Amino acid sequence: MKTFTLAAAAVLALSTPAFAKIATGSSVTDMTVVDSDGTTHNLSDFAGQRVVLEWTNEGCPYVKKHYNTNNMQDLQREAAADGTVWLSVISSAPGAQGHKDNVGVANWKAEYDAVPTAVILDEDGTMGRAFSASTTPHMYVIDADQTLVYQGAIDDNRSSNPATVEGARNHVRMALANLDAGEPVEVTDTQPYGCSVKYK
Amino acid sequence: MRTVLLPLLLWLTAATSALATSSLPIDTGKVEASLLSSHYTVAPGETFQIALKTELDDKWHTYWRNPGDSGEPVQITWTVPPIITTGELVWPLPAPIPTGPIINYGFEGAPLFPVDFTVAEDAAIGSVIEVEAAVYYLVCYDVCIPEDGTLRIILQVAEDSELNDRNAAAIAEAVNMAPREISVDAAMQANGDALSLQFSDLPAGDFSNAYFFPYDNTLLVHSDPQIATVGDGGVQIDTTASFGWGDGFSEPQQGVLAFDLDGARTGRIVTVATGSALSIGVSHSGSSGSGPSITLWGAIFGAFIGGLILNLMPCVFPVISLKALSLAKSAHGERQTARREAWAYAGGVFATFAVLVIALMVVKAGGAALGWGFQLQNPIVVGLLALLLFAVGLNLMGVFEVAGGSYQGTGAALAGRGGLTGSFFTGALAVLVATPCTAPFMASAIGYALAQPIFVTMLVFAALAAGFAAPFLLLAYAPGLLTKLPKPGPWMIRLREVLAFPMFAAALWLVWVIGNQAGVDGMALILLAMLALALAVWLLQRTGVWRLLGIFMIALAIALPFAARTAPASGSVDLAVDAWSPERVAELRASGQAVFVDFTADWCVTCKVNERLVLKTDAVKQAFADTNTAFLIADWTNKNDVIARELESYGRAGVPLYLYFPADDNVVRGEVLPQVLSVDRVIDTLKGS
Repeated sequence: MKTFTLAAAAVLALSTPAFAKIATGSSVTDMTVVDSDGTTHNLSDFAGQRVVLEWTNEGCPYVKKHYNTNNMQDLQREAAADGTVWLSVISSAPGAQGHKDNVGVANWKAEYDAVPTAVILDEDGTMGRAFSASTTPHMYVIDADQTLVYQGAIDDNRSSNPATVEGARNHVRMALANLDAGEPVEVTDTQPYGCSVKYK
Repeated sequence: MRTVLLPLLLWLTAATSALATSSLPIDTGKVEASLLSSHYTVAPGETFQIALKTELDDKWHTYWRNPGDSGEPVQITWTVPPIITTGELVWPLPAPIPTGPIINYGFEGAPLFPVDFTVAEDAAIGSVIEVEAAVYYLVCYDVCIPEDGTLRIILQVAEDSELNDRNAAAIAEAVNMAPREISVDAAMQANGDALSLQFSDLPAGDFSNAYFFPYDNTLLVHSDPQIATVGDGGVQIDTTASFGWGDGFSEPQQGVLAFDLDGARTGRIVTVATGSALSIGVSHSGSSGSGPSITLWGAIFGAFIGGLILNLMPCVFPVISLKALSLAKSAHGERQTARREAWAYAGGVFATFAVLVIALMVVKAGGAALGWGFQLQNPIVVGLLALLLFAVGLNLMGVFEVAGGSYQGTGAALAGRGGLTGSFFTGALAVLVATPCTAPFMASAIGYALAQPIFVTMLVFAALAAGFAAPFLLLAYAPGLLTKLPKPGPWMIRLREVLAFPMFAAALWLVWVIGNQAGVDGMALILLAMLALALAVWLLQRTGVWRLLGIFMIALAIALPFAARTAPASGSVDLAVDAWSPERVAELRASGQAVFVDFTADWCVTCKVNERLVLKTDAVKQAFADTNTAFLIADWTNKNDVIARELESYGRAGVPLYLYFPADDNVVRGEVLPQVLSVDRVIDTLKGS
């Protein structure tokens, strides 16, 4: 009887997969992901390098705010110049807004002149759920020893209006600057803002 | 056009003094927005209301002041003449709106957003009040659209105010339905990830499904369930603390406490400060809650029954019935002593379970530090749990026994002592002494508990302990029952064997879950692990080399589920693919891309072989990427006339059919590839050589 109850409890637990939020300051769980070139990456492959994760969805107005103003691309270039790995992650389910195949990603990168290290295709949402990514954009900074040092919004102006990029505090840029200076990251958690991630 | 017309119309309405008490509605896309005024004319010093009314398209929603996990609140910027003072926006009661695992706080339907405006005492009679509202809202369903617009409404100051009854009633109802501020006793505490809020001195209502919407969006994790427990003195809500607790909340926090009143959902604005927990007088029977807490109560009840069943296990039952018998005899005429001893026994049981819970907490904390999450959506954890349940089933069937260990003797010696100490140790050690029989049950409970928050673990183990101790306590109070106990005998073995089947059933179900998570390959891995485990327990009954081999097989069985992680999910090709349609082909070709079409079906063996051996190989995937060729799948698993027609046009009655349309070439018909593909053939075709 207990077995049945346990099984029933497990059914409920599984049917509503909880968001497994990774606390800032703890190590990121290793996982295997596939990018739009079909290349497989383990997050642990990037040990020794800083990694920025960016959840994205081309159709989302908040994502557009940062791409149409080149804010995101500028940040990607600064990160690349600094030797930081930049992974853009698309967790949109097939058929949902923002979902892309390898060709779609290539076109999108060309159109916006985006330069992430790789674009992760996470159409089943495994990576998104593991990181508890809830919005696009939703940003994460992982330091060289694979510790999550920042998660949340890209900046402190929670609007879709492109005019608000100017003058906002860009939390990712500041976190990377803190790491450059060998200081602890000043702002480690913020509430992300944007569209919901279009999970399956 | 509208931008020109609107001011013109407004000017006309103002000029003719036919004052508008409702603005012209504007359609911003998914929302039709308008302003409603409670008055036609207002007297100097009077307060009137204007409400923004937003009629949302079906299924679309806008957001509350704290939008939850994503989204952006409805925003209104009012422009009023100097004689008008603008009051606070009255927010309607939000609802939690789930989108996948994400929870938003927002509105559907046609919410009204009323605001109070006050006319200055010295306002001149006849002066025109033009109120302008620049509105902005993010409206979402499957996608999100920011919409905005400007609305205007014109009133006039007059000696006598004149009400628009219909608007005034609608606004009054909206204000009445909206959460209003009340004073309650409230406190909140965050303990690690666990956040607990208590509210007492509450108004009338049913709080069994109470939900707290905080204004601050860093107070709690919106996507986690809120478990409400109702007591005589109030309600407690348990949920997960968000990162805002990193610095603590020194200021009191406001939010809306939603509950049911006369069958309708309602809410009140309450203020809650960090402070020691309020006693809400929880009565254990009277509490309940939404889905998750039912699960919790189910688990607790199950654990209690499980504890009772433990007493019937072959190696527990004789010990306990003997001890009970001796207790009844020795305490003959001294009921008090018997009861004290029974409580000491129960204390021993609880203490042992408490030690176990502490050990679990340590394991869990250690696991978390290693980045190892015990979550059931992780196929490895599910795999290990399935393996564990399978092993438990085998054990119950009597395929193997768990070694008792020498401490059974020690236990017996300690338990044999007289008095309360002896009874305490009987309780403590009944748990341990009986390990050979209880281990399977305990293992299942531990497996479940590891995947749960720690307070759930504690409750489940407390219930298990209570169930375990209950019969003994009962006997102390009703010694007459002793004669009614069944005698130890073969029935106990049969009972144990029967219990194996639910274990197998649960294991089977978990294997199915893995199938969903990690595909057929992952499922096969777990079944293989089970085979290895069965072989291992059989080998372990042997001696020498066989035994060593058995140990190796156990290691293998445990290692196998870990491979489930990297096993690609069946059917999800990591080659990015797109669904086929004639339009899609035309669209891709128009953009100058080469296109490859795979006409396939799940029941088509040749198709699957081609996919596995050719199309999904790294070399081919690389060729697709290098040549920027789009991969379209026409899935004929189910009847589809468009696909059937396309097949027919190539002279085929079935699948597979592989078509290639080169880039920058205006051929109408695709190149047909052979039905049995080879890696070289496909790569040559793609590279155009």
